[in-house]
Amino acid sequence: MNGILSMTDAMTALCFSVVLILAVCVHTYSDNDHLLAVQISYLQKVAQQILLVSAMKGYVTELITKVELRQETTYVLVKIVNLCPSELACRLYVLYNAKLLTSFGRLADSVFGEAKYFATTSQGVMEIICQVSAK
Amino acid sequence: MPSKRKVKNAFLWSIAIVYLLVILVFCSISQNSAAELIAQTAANRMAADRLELAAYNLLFDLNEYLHKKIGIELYLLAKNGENPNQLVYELSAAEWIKTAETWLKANGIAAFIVIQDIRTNRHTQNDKRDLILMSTLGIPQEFEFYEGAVDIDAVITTRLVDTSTQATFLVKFNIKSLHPVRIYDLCTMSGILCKRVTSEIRSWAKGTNAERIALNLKKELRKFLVSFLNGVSQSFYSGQVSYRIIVRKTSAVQYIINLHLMKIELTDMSKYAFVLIDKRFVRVSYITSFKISLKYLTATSKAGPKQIAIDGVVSN
Repeated sequence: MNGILSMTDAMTALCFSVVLILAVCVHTYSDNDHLLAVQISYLQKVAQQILLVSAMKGYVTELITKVELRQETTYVLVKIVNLCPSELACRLYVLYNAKLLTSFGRLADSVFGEAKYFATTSQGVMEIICQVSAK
Repeated sequence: MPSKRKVKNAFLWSIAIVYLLVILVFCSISQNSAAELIAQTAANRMAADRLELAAYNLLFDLNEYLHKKIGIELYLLAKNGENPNQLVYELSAAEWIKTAETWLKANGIAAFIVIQDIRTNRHTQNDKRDLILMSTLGIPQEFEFYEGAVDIDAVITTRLVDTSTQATFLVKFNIKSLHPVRIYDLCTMSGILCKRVTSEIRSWAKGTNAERIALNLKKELRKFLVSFLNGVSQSFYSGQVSYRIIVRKTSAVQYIINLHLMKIELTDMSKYAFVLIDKRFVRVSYITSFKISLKYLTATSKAGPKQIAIDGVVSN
């Protein structure tokens, strides 16, 4: 009788451990997923804010003018990238009629948020893509 | 008995384990639902943010488009000396709407854009323009030399739908922007110049033969033009007027004076008064011409040529 009880105890303990481990695993996975979604959402928001602020400050107009006049764009791109908070990294792509014209900056992480802004010019459509990641 | 008890114990423990597994599965399902809900909420929020950016993108780009288009139109109107009130008839944003909707569709946003009430008017100091929209164009809201420039007003209503989440964003923006070229003032000044020449030409015609009359007229006309152009230069306008004076003797004491201001070119030289055309910045010049003829009678007539013509140019 004593032997049977101790075996049952062992079985129960094992089952509880499995259940507990599974529950913890499921819970941990969800948290990571949630955190990733929140992080990407935050990074996307920052990327959007960078594009909006640069448009409001006239940097986008300046960039369009430089592109139309075929002048150097780096100075304007530096001004846009400088709007990025110091704890984040920012990369910009400028596409003109769907062709990559120039890019600037670099990301420090594979997880990033992205925002796009379009501008019509006399020659077609210019697209600015802003990507933001953690440093 | 021990065997029976063993079976009973095993059965009870099996039930307990199954019960626990059911609870675990239930917890897991609710956990997954919660995670899905969170993911969906995050996706909706991201979609809403994306739609908001797209809406502001449309506002700013339409402002930029109208500014450029009005710039080109007013350049052409000024070049032909036409009335700036015609500007509004030349404006349509249909092409821009098509471009914007195509770009948004390619980026997973179905857009319904309506643009109404595109209007242009003479700017007055009391009419405040939108600070942000002015800033996007790279021009300050307050500037000494905007009087007579072009006010741009329009209303844009957009309904944006994210095609993946079906999130919807509906917004209406009023555009209150400005083009800094003072075409209304250029047009007015050109008219004032012609009116003053008309009213004063009689007092400039003096002399007893064609040559004398033409020379006196030239002297007074140049004096007037220099003074007029100097006056307008105080408000950052430059000007150039080319003229032809023809004085013809028709009888012993009667002369016909023809004054032709062949090209009255007034240009806005203020800091922001540029238009981007053919990949270069150009100043806007209002170009007109003006002709006036009058009969002049002298009490006595001296000998001299029957007809004389004098050409000249005055600029500041």
